[in-house]
Amino acid sequence: MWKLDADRPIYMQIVERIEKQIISGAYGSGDRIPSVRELAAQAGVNPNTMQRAMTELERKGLIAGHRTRGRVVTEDREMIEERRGYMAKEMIREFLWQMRELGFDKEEILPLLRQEVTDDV
Amino acid sequence: MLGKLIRHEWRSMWRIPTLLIAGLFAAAVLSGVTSGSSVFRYVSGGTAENEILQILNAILVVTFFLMLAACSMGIFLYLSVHFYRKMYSDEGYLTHTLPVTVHQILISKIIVMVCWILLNALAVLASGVVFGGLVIWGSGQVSPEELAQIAETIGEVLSHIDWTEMATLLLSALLGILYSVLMIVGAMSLGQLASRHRILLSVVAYFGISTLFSSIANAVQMHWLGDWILSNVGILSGVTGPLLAFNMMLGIAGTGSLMMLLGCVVLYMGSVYINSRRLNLE
Amino acid sequence: MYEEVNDQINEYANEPGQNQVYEYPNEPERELVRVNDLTKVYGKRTVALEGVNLTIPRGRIVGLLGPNGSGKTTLIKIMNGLLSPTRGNVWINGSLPGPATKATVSYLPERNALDLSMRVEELLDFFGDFYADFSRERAGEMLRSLNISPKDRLKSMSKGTREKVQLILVMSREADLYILDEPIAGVDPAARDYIIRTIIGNYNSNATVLLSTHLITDIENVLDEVIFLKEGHVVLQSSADALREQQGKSVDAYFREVFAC
Repeated sequence: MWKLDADRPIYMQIVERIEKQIISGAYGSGDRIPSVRELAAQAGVNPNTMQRAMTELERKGLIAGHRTRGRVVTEDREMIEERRGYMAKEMIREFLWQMRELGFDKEEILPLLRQEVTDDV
Repeated sequence: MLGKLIRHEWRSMWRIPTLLIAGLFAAAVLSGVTSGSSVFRYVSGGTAENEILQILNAILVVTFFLMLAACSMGIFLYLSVHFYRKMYSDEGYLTHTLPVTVHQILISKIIVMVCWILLNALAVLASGVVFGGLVIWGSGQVSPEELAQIAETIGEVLSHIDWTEMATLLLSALLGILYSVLMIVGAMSLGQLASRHRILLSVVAYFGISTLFSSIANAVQMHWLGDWILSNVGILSGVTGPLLAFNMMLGIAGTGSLMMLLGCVVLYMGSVYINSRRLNLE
Repeated sequence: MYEEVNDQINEYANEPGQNQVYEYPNEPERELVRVNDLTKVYGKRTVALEGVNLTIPRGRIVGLLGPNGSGKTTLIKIMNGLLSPTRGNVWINGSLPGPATKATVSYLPERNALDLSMRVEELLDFFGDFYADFSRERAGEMLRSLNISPKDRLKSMSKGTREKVQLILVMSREADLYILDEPIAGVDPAARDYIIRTIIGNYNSNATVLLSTHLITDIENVLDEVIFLKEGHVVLQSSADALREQQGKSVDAYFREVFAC
């Protein structure tokens, strides 16, 4: 069972999780996505909820219904890259906001960042 | 569906009554043998072993009679407990959600109960014959020729029996069994209406209905309906013509069976109503 | 479907009245259960249910949530034909409760309703005999996966195993409506997972599962829809995710709010 937070809509969390998997490449372009039933069993959620998440992912263009192979990850690598960039920007923005809350300014942040990145190999 | 209900009902309850009957026959055979055998008989100036054997014989005979009582009454007790368990204990949640009608549930259980009471009664009779037969045969006081004569006499008696009377009697007996089964069913259906002390209430209901029905039957028989029926037997027989049994009941067994039949109908309809619309599972 | 529905959330949320309904526009052809002005009064004063109106479509897993004494058991009994309403009615697939509905409703009661002296294979016979929609293969598979032998007697099993057997029998039917009364109460966490997985695995878009429970945390991720029952009244019927979105908290947390003593 996936670890899902009951405080937020489940389907949204599923969308986020699968989106991450697509962006990170865990699900490669053109890869087949398991059926709604399989995923629902894996996740420990209602198949309807899983279906809803799939619909949302389709709407976002991350997955597409293939005629013969069921649902597959989009072949549109550009789009995935775009998403990737977008999510990265979101995370960075959040990070910067948090740092500013702590009282850090621009000059302090960059060196700290560089330090952590080089250390974290 | 009715067949399935009967089959499963039988399967769920045949063991204990069979055990009782087996025990009954075992006791009949054992005590029959010991009672008929000279070894166990009183001998004047007998030895100590002889006395022990006499006591053993007495114990076995007493056991047999106890088994007779146990079987005769035990079957009713067992059937009641089993009915209550299937219908109104937790198992009721399964019984009453089967895809069958209340009629089917009740009828299947009634049929099985009537069968077992009959079987039981026959077993009691048969065990008596076995016991008696063993005693007679063992005591050696009846010669083979005498036995043949007895058989012949029995044969003659049988050939002179009025079979229509016999049939009526048997039917009345059957009606009586049906009535006692329906009494159990009715009393328990009433008892489960309560939220507490349901079994106690069933017992109270049993005696209550018994008394009520007897009083009504007596009152009716003694006065009004009895006279009316007797004076109109001819017309009534004509109306119910095809129903031979009914005819006989009116003519021979009288209003007693009629009252019993009425009682059966009332008890059945009441039970159907209660179990359809007033079911009260805990 | 879900896109249009999202727009409707705000509409519905602003609707006045006791029954808050988030999401799920009416799909009359898919309606499985209809409850109409259902009222049950015991004796002269105890009101177990009052004016309950509900429709439950097919293909859903619905949680019937409420504290003890809220009327859940009464509603379930009436749906199963074990109790007669004082007023109003329940229709399952367009019929009133009776032998016909009992053939399409698979009920798991809170208690053990099975004859303890029976063996597993006898129970399989029993269910197969009475229920045309019983799948002996499916039951056999599930029993094997739990290492339960057909020759085992219920008497000799632990309580937990017995409950699993009852669940397996109920879920092995291809019913239209599954009614599970407190399926996970008093059950260890591992068994709870098993039960939840079985419920999910059994899902088909033609059938509906109605789960009655007061243990919400463990089960809320599995529910499509929730119905809150309070003192015999329906105070909420909503999709679970819509509720989370609207209230910003879990169903369990919101439940505690609504039913705070």
